This record gives sequence, structure tokens and C-alpha cells, in this order.
Amino acid sequence: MIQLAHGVGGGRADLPIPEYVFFYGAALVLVVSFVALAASWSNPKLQEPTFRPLPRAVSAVLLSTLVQILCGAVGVFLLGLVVWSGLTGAQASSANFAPTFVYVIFWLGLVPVSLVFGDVFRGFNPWRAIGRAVSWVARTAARGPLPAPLAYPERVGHWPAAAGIFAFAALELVASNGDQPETVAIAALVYSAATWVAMVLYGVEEWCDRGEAFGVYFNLFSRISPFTRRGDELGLRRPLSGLAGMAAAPGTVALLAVMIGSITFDGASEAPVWTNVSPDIAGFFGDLGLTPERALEAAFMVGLLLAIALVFALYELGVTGARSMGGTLSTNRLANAFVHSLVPIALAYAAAHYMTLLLFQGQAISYLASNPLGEEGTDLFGTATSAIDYGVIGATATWYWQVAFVVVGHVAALILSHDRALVVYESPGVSAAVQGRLAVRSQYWMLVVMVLFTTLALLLLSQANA
Amino acid sequence: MSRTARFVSIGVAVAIAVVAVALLRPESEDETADDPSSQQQETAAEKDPAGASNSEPTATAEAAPEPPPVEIGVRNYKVVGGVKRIEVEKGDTVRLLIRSDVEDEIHVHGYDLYGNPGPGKPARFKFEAKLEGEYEIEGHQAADQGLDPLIARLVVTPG
Repeated sequence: MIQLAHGVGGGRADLPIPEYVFFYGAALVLVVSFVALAASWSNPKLQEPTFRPLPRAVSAVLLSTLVQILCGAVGVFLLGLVVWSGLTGAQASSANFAPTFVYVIFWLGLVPVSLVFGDVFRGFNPWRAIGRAVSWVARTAARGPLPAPLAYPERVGHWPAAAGIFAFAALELVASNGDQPETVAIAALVYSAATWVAMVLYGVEEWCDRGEAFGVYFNLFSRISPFTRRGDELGLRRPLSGLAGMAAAPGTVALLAVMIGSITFDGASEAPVWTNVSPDIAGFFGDLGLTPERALEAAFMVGLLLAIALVFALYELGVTGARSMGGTLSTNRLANAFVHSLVPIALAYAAAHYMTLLLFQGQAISYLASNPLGEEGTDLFGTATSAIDYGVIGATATWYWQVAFVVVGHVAALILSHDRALVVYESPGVSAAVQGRLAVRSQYWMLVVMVLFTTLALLLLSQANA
Repeated sequence: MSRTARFVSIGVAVAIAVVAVALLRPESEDETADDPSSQQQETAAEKDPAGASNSEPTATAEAAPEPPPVEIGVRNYKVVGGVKRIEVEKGDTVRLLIRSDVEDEIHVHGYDLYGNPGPGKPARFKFEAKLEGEYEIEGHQAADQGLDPLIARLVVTPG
């Protein structure tokens, strides 16, 4: 039997939330949803971007060329460290810097950072930093501007980002050697090469904003943050309003479905609903002639795809339902109009599911950074012998935080969705009363979908390892 | 929706919230009230067959108030009878006795305790369950052989 689950974990799992916490959560969701819909504003408040600049000096320092170069250098250094330690260090995921840094510090740790401080990753993005450096050298050599040879095709939209996040999730959750340091390093190299080729073709900033999977991923969460940037100025905006300003493109719904679906599968893969059927699916692939390891991977790939399809179907249900309530908008336009409301749900899923992994396994970076290769006797910062303190948060506190994340994410989604409905159903020649009624009626379906998402999240939390 | 209607609906929602909490509270209190008694019954029931099957006279229930250690057998790096689930409450004393017919290193994750059983010398663990959560107990030799190292799960629930 091969160990699958998330890439790294240190042999600790959360206790499933008990029944009474589950019911608290479900009751809270229903009540709060009711309040949110009944009492929510009747005029859109998030659609127009607001911007209050921070003091000039703050923007001048944080966006100065020197700081940009320094941040980029830190990002490039860390990418290099992942590749170097992954390729040359000890091949045990618990002793090597690369797996814990990529799967925990980078992938999970940057989510709360983006949520609070905004799009910080953009500054540290190693692919962008190298792309800009190379482009600066090329422009200097050519003594003039170098336009990108190709225009970014509109219909490609967010599909490359969706594919990138899917590949990352598959590496973490499906590949049996996904937590191996060497695998992590090779994946980083392959992704870097693909990213730089795309940057040469479509331009550095263009690709970072639309195609680069991690840039797009963290940018989505950063749109909840009150901190934003406008040109060369940093400022404050209404929390969540950044999401309303997000331009939906082809593939955005797929991207969100991949984000939520992969976390759903990660939760479900530890629960009986999956562990009872996965041997049968693996057996089916085994009969087709795959080795047991490959058959198990194939079964997990099926599970991951099913979870993503489930999330996609739930959202489409909401949109189709909203469409059936009347109005002249096509299903496709509605799907794009409301997709930003899935971002807080993705955040809630990530926070509830990965909070303890980040809190516990995140501590491992202290000893891994001091001895990145996992060699005898290396201790760069004197912390190589430190250990994870599993006492930082107890089970009861974990349960309440998890439920709180799920409920708050759900409410944020409802607010965004309601606010957007007020604009979407605005049309000239139709009376305000009709518009308002359409907007509210469309939201009944969204409410159903959001409650289903929340119940699914709570169900997964109550099922884990049961 | 008019202003009054909005306030009425908030009032209704708050009322529902109060009722929901009131309905759910006693349930959870009942559960916790029930817990200690049922727990005692369980441990008492567990003690008896263990004492009966244990042929050593020194391990009679009267002399030792502690329950006997949880025994796990490992044969050729494989756990006998499948992966065990050891459930305790926070603060309980956990006692493990791990027998193996091969030299092995047993690791209790989270608590980071190690023991080295071998033929004829079982590994013993005795510690207080201070950390909540579910922790894996693994045999490191099995991992080196490419086998599933998991031999048991220690589940520590809040007391």
C-alpha cells in the first residue's frame, strides 16, 4: 500500500468535527444566510472601485526599484534553494527543505498573507523577476522597446492558470512520489521553463497577470484584501471590492472549480466515502494491466476529476437556476458574472482544511531551513534540532475555527453574489421594481448552491478519518 | 424590501438563532454528561476480558488500577490483525506494548517517541496523552523495505 494524502504531513491528522459542532455550523449558516439576504443592501456597494492612497512615502519606498529588485531576488533565491535541495539533498520528504517549503510555506502560507496584505506574491514572484531582468537586458541591448511577438488570445483567458493549478494539485494529491524532494525540484524546473517560454511569447506582465498559475491564484485571494495598488501608488479599498473588479475570462469558472474541487478531494480522500470505493476503482485499473502503484494513481486521478466536476456542476446548477428565473442574460454570461463569489468559498475551504497543516508542519521550516539538504551536522541557524510544537492549538479550538471559516466565507460569497445581482439585472426600459425582483429571485438559487457548498465543507470536516 | 420588513426579518433571524442554540445546547451538554459514565462502563468492560485472558497472576485487576497496555504484534514488518485505532482522552496515560519478530524502530508521531523492539524484547511506551489530534505510529524498518509503515493510529480526543 502506498501512502497518499497531502504531500507532507508529519503523521498528524485533525480529529473530525463532532456532530454538535456540525449542527451549530449548519444552523449558523442558515440563519446568517437568511439575514444576509433579507438585510443586505438594495444598492450595489462593491462594484465601483474605491481607492484611498496610503502616505506617499510608503508607496515610494515599497514600490521603489531597489525594493522590487530585493524582493525579486528573495523569490529567485528561494526557487533556486528548492531546486538545489530537491535535487542534491536527502530524498526523504521529512528531512528535505523542498517539499515542506513548496506544499506548506509557499502554497498554504501565501494564502493568508495575500488575504491580509494584498498581492505580495507579485513582488516576490521569481518567474516574473527573472522575466523582467531578462527583458531589461534585451531592451537595453536592442536600444528600444521590444513588443511581445504574440498578443495574448482572449479566448485562452484563465485556462493556462486552471491547467497549472490542476497539475499542482495532481502532483500533491495523485502522484505517489509527489512528496519526493527530487520530484518537487523537477516539477519546479519544468514549470519554470514553460513559464519563461510563455513570457517570451506573450510578454512578462501579460503572462503574469493572466497565465502564470500561482500569480493568478494568489492574486484571486489578494482581491479580498483592503490593500491594493494603482499604478505606482499603494492604497486602501473596501474589503471584497477587489473581487467585484475582477474580469472574468474564459476558464475562470474552471479555475475556481479546480481550486475548490482539489481541496474537496483532499478532504474526501481521507473519508470513508472515498476509502471504501478507491480500492475498487484501483482494481479496475489493475485489471486493465496497470501496476498496483499506477492503478492507485489512476483511481486518485478519477477521484480528483470527480470532485472538480462536482463543484463545477453545483455552480452550473446555481447559474442555470438563476437563468430560469427570467431576464435576458445567457447562462454563460451569468456564470461569468457570479464566478468571483466562489473565491471566498475557495478561501474558506483552504482555511478550514489546511489551517492545522500550516500551523504544525509550517513550524518544520525552522529546522529544515537550518539544514535544507538533510545532511548530518549541518546547522546554519542553530535551529536544526528544533521540533514541532503540536500544542499550539487544541482540537476544540480547531473545530470552532474551521466552522467559523466556512460560515464567514459563505457569507462573503452571498454578499458578493447579491451585490453583483443588483447590477446584472439593471437594464434600461425595465422598471426598477421588476429589476429588483429579478435580482432577488436569481439569488434564491445562489443561496441553495452556497448552502450546498457549505454543507459539503462541513460534511468533509466531520467525516475525515471517521 | 422596505425598511421595516428588513428589521422584522432580522428579528426573525435572531429568534431562529436563539432557538437553534437553545435546541442544540442541551444535546451537547447531555452528551458530555453521558460521556464519563459510558466511558467508565467501557473501560470496566475492557478490563475484564483482558484480565481473564491474562494468565499472569500479577496482572489481576485489583492490584493494578491502570488498564493493561495496548498490545500490538508485528510479524515480518506487518501488523498482526490490521492497523489498530487507539482512542484515549486528553490527560490519559497511554501504555503500549509492541512485539516484533524482527528488529524495528517504532515511532509515535507528534509525541516523537521511539522504541526498538526485536525478537524476544518488546518495546514499551508509557506517556501522558497531552496533545490532541490523530497521530500515526509507524515502524521505520517497514518504510525502508518499501512496505506500509503504519501499525496503529493514536487518537487523542479533548477530555
